[in-house]
Amino acid sequence: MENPRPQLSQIELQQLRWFLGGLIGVVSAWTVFYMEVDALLALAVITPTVPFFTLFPRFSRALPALFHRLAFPLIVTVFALDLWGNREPLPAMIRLDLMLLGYRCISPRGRREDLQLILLALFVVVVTGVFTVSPAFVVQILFFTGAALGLLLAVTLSDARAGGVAGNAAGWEQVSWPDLFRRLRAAADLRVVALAGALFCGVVVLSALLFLALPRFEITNDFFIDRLITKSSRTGFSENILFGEVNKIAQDGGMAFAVDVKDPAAVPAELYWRMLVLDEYSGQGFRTSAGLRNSFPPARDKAMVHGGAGRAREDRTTWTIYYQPGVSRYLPLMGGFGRLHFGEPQALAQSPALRIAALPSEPAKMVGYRVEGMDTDGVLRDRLFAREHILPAWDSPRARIFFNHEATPREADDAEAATGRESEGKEPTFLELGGVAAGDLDKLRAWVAEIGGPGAGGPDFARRAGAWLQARHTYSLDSTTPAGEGDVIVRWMGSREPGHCELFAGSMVLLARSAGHPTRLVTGFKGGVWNPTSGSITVRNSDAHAWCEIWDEANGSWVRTDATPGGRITPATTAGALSAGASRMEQDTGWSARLDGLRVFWYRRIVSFDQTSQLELVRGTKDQLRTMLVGLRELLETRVRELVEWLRQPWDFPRIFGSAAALGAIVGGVWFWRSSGRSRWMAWRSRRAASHRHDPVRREASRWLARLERRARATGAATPPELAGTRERLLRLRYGAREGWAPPAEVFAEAKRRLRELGRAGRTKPAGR
Amino acid sequence: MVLPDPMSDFFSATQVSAARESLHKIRESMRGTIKGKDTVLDQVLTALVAGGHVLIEDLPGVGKTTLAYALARSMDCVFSRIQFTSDLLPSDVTGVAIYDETIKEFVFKKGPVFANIVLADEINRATPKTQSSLLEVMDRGKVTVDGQAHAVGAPFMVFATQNPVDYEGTFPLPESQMDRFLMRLHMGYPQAADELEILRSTRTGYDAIAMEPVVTRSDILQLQQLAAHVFIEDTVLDYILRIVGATRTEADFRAGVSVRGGLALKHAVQARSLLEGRDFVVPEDVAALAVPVLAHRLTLVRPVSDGMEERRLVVATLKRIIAAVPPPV
Repeated sequence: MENPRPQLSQIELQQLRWFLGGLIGVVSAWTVFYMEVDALLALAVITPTVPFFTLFPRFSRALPALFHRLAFPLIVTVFALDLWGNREPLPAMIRLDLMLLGYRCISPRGRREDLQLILLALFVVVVTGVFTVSPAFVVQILFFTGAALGLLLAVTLSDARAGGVAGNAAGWEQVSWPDLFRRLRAAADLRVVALAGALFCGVVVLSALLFLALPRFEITNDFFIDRLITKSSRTGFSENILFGEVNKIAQDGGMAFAVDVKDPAAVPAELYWRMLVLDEYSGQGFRTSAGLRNSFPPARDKAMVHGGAGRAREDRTTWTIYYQPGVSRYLPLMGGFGRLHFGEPQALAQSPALRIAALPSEPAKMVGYRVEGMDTDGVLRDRLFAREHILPAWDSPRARIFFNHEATPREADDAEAATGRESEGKEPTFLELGGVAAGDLDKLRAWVAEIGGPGAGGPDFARRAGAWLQARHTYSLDSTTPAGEGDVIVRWMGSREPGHCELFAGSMVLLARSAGHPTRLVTGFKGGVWNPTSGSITVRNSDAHAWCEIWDEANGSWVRTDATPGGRITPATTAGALSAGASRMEQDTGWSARLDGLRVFWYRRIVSFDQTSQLELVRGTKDQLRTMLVGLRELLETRVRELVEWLRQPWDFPRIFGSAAALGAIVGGVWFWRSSGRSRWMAWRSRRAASHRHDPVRREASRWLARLERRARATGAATPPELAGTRERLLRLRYGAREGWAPPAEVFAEAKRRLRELGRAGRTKPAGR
Repeated sequence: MVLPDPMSDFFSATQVSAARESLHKIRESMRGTIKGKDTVLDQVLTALVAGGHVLIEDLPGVGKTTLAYALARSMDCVFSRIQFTSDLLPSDVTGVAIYDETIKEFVFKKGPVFANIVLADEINRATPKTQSSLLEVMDRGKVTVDGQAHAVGAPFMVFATQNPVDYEGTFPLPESQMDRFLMRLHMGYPQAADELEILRSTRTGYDAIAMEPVVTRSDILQLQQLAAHVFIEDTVLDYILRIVGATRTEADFRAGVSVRGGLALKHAVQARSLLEGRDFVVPEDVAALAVPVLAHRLTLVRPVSDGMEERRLVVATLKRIIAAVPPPV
């Protein structure tokens, strides 16, 4: 007898169920880490306890009966108290789910409890996936699906083995995991595993196709609960920044946002992603003053497209930004923009004067938006500031000519609206040094004199002040300000200590304001790397940066100035520097870049997959198929032409000989295959068959026996006498020992011949009557 | 007859045809005495080759004793008949140690069970204690008296009979005892033509049966060894397993077929294959023998007062199960 493939016993199936259940429990519980749910206690208990009980199931039997009796009332009581105390239903339900999940994982389970565990785990995984829309959801749901299917299969097999009798096999808790996995490997039929894997992949592919083919629906982002459970901002990009907070952000290597550029050649050499403008100096940092806040109108009604105050409408380059949750509600932009598109209706607050835009609240999940006509040169014209503070004769012909040549009706409306609001509140404080003591002001004035005085204008002073600062200080993330009395920035400027970007930017602001130049601090991100995997720019939290914008009276605009070593003090103006192209950017080719590439793919093709993308994909597929068909037709036509030409050529001896040899080889090959090749192949596979059930000879014999049976039914006899011998030989192939087999190919050929003869005889009989 | 290589499940066509020839001889020999009962003869031969015992349940006077006797005579075997009554003692069956004055020690005097073919007539008339005296010998072919084992004849086969109608003053066989029988058979009345033939004969009792042995005892022992090597393919074993498993989950049965029952079916189908001249088992063998081999091992959840009716219900349910279990293809 051949050794049949071993089968898992009832005890082994029970152990497998226990293992899979524990695995599902732990992994699904860990998904709560993605959410801002206060469940650390539950996770801290589950994380060590469940793996321990999973690996040592005998301890689950050791739990006293009292524990099981009290568990449910206790869990319900904790849930009720949680709900009553926190008044937040969903987080309380998640915590309840975690408690039940933990209990189910450590207590002995039958079929019903296994199904409960799957449902509890599914709840957590789905809630996490829906509310975070993160790429990790894909991994979670795939893992969960595989593990849950495995568990369900084990439950089904276990039930079938037990004959529908509920309860666990005695002694299953005594488990040797290495032995179990060895048995599992021995019992696993590779073909079944491959089939299951193929089916699983098929389901995934089918789901993907359905996703691509289904019509798009616009779902508004109105889930009130998502704010309750998703991660809040972990960065310092808010209206009040203390020194060191931007530096703290820069310690994090996570991705802040990714950028798809329609025309990678148009990527500028200097990428400064502005997010916030801060004007008021507090002595400990910078904040947005009340006056500046007044110039920032509240969010408008929801719309998918928002117009901006950008001037570069002729610029056809579009930037699609996939903005990660947990950064800020302020959107990273390089300057003014023409239009800003969202994937779904979205409220947006924007200041045309400051060229910044913000969502009503910090996004709970990734936000994708496409920007058209974005200014990237670092020069921001500001008509309002120029009119009210610099150019007293706003209505003068010069001012009208200087500013109105690019003004649009929309900009004019914004400007009027902003002017109305500004008059109600305080003014922006671009020149104030409110937090600096008198003594420190003297020092500042002295340093301004040392730098060379106010100079010809803001940019001129910025160049000299920047050079002065860089000559005295080097850049370091680990910078410390010297101890002592007075203003922090003044103390640092007075020292030779290295500093980070906030100290350089803050110093520039204080020096420029002391010299009489309106200056403001800007926070955001600088730079980014080109990710060839995804073909996009990746900007990380470590690119967080602070710099200044100084007023340029001559041009009526704010000019970026970055005094931090490594940055350009004033923006480049040459065409080459303005448009360096992505190819000249730093390339990121590491594993993290590949993961980021997957994430961008997820955002690009799944999360932000709108109707336009759908149509593009369908058109692209159609074009590709058409191209392939045309190519195939051309290839066939070429081959036929070549064959015809070859046939037309004169037939000499070598050609005739070669052709005959090739034909002979083909005929010989077919003959060999039919005569012995096929039987050898079958015999080889038969010898390798893991069990009789998979033996190809036995299966083939079974097919021929079925045909004989059909023939017998048709003739009305048990077995036609002509076929008795053949049936006997086929029965031997099907049920007999291998040693007694006649050559299978001969038996099958005989069966085929006999059946054909019988068929012919059956057809000729009626004609003969 | 040459036995197959013990390391191989395959044996030659010569061995198969020799075995078939031997069994054919016995069948033909018995046919001369037992008229029109070919199916019963085949089942008895199957039980003989499988090394099992037979319980024949039928009315008196249908040829049960004659059947056993004819089998014994055909094989040149020692035949013994025990008439079971309520006062029969175990020692009356197995034998007893008696004190021999001449040699001054106890000497074991063999009982009627020391034969090759033992007819336990109306076995259910004896007390359970006496019935159980057959347990060891049916299972192991040995009798242990005073701590000493005594082997009975080889081959050894018990033909037990019982009357399914007259139950007054009887002791139904316990399940453990029923499980020892490989098959339960029914003789039934013969066809009119066969019965006419019987009436024409001048013979009065089985003692008057004159038969010449057609095979030797050693032939039978070799056949039994050969049957154990008949090849059973995995899917056929699985078929047996599925039928046995289905009896265990059937709601009408109090308990399913035991492991011994499954093994008995396997041995029986191997023997039947040999009888059919095959060295491998086909699913038809299983379907053909499932009822005679398994039915007497099953009891209904709801007891039926009439024994015949209970047997009929058990067989009907078992046939329904067999029809519902798909054979391998």
